[in-house]
Amino acid sequence: MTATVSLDVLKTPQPPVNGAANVALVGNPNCGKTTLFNMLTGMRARTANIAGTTVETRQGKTIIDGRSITLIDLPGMYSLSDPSPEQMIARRALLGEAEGLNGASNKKPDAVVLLLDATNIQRNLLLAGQVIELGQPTVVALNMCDLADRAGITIDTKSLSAELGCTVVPICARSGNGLPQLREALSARLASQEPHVLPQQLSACSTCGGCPIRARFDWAEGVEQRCARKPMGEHDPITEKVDSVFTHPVLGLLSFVAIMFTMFAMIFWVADYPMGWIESGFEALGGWVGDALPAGDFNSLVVDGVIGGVGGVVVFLPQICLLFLLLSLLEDTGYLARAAVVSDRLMRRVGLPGTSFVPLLSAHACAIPAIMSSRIIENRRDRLVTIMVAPLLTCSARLPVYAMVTALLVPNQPMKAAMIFVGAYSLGIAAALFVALLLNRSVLKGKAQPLVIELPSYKAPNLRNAFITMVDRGQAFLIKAGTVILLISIVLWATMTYPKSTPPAEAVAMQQQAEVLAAQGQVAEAEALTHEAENLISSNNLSNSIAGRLGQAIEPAIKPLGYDWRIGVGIVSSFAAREVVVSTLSIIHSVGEEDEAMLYDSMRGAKLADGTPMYSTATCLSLLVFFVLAMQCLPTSIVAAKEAGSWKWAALQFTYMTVLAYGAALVTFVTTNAMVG
Amino acid sequence: MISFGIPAQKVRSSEANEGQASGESCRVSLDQLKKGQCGVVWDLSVSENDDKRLRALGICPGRRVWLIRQGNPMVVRVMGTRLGLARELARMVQVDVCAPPCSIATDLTSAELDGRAGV
Repeated sequence: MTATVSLDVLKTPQPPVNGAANVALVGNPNCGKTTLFNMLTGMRARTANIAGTTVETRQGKTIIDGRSITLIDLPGMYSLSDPSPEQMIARRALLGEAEGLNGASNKKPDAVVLLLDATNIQRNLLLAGQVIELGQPTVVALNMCDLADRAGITIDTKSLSAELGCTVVPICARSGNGLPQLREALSARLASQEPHVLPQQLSACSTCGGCPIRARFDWAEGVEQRCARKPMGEHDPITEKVDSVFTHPVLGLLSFVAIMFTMFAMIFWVADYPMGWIESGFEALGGWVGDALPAGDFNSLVVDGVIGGVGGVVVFLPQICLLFLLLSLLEDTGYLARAAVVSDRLMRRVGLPGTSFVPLLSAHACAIPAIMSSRIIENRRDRLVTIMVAPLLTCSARLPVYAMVTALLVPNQPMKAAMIFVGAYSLGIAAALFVALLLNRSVLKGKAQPLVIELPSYKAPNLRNAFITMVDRGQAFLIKAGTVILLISIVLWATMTYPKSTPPAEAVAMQQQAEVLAAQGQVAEAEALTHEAENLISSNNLSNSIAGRLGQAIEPAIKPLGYDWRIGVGIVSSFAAREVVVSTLSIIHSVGEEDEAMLYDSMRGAKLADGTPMYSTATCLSLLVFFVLAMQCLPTSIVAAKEAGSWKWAALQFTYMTVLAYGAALVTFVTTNAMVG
Repeated sequence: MISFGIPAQKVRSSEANEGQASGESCRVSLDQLKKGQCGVVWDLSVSENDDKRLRALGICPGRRVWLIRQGNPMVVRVMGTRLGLARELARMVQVDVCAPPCSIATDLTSAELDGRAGV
């Protein structure tokens, strides 16, 4: 194999000085690859799927010696024969087999930067040997030289370079030490037309008989012995001490619960402020646009449909950003791998692997990023089970619904309200575990893939990496909100707006009366009356709209749960996002959308057709249970279908969740009624 | 979800093969090592997929594995890194115990093993 330097890879506007080049960044997981990538490309990177797959790579540009370099951060891998789909695709990308890598050409990268962890080169040399053998121009970056120094490890880079047949540059990606030298070496390698020469011992390794990996490890061991000096025994006493707590059967579980609890407390507490700003921002924008546009359907479409709909979902952005910021920090420290070990003990019993705990944890903020992050689960069966149960966990959009129900059930009793919240969260978790177990015994038979996970040494987290991950995830969510969620918002707006109905006689009379009052100078009374008339008109419009009629149509079906058609309309409208049910009920109870206290008063006063209170204890509890379990979220369904690879799974998910929610709500309603009387 | 020790105990009492553990070759499955003990991997009999995963992480014939913590998953150390490892996989990995009193019966020479001791 000979190396060629392509001169026509990228279609850049102005011809680059030395020709553009694609450079792939390859290395083991936990070797500091992301840090190096971020240091080389800064904030100019973007996340892109390798064409035709869901495997994401980050790609970024950097200029080295006037040459425009596209750096491609391939997924971390331990060897080129790793069986996970992500790593198989990374391998194909490296070999130039993946179609249209970098969206430009169907070819292999012009050069490879191979990252080795200096604190453990023996392990890293397995992949290194395989990559070097591919014959592409390769530069080796020996990372974490500072940590190696501290651990008393010395590496002779000259002899390592001779063993590997390529330039070896010691760097510290975190501090940036050695990066200029790495750029220089890469530039020199790209400029040189020399074919890659494979060292003899390495080439002997791949052809020898027996277990190829075994032979490679023997070679790696030899290289380490010849090039590195390290002290005896475990080189990381801190990791040893910390792990004696974090992987302990009892202490490990306790610290796991404590860490997760702290993380969620922080997410909900800190995110509360920016969420308030976003909410008022969208309200202000809606008000401003509403005033600027002429009144009518278009005004309503823009204000209620587009701004209101998208705003209702984007308000969760701070929580999602914080979640990924904290998860990234935790991952950097090395704790997440321990958390996978601890949670594996629990989750294996219901057929979920320990690795599914990050997606399931994320689902407590929002099921959409949770389902998207289920890609980290290697095994397809395990991934499907995770996707199927993730929306059962209490996401933020359910919180306004829980808040409404608790306000109706136990007004001004924070302790009881907190207990209802805990109950709702626990119900979601229990349901998710139960359904995972059922899936395990039915459509997704089999066992969760047994755990094998590297527990990297503990390190101080890297804020810069965490920040970049956060921006990345936030962007992905906003793009979803900008497309899928926008579309759904518009469709639901239409079903709640059309067909138009004539204003009720009562409201018309009120408006006339208001005009008379205004003429008499009683401005305040006139305004109050106009407001009331407007609320009546919106309530009437909603009742007669498609959504309203749907609500009335499903009334017979939801009657056994204690709901009447008004809640039916709320359920129909909540497919956009669950919290929409609160604003829909506000409109239906003719209180407008502003005043929560007024809404609760009005709801408490609401009566059913037979004169009994509409929101009895039984109805409230049944409504709570329904919203804990039901799949009232079309955006999640769409993401689930995409990630599971088929609409079949999304349909099954929707069906089982609706059936489960209906059944559980029915049981709740009947038993509460029997108990309360 | 009360105690995690119970299933592991069950597994041990039903699966532990004392005769093999005290036999001449001192070849046991990885989960039968004691805390702090080390063994040289002899063979793996797992699915092809798991075989690749294990080997890539260093659970490969010829490598030394130390048992750090029992349990399920258990914690082992191999090639300078800790791994969390499901017990059901560890059961399928045969190792030759490298601590006395057992002598090591492998195809490795003592010089090779000495070299590995520093790893």
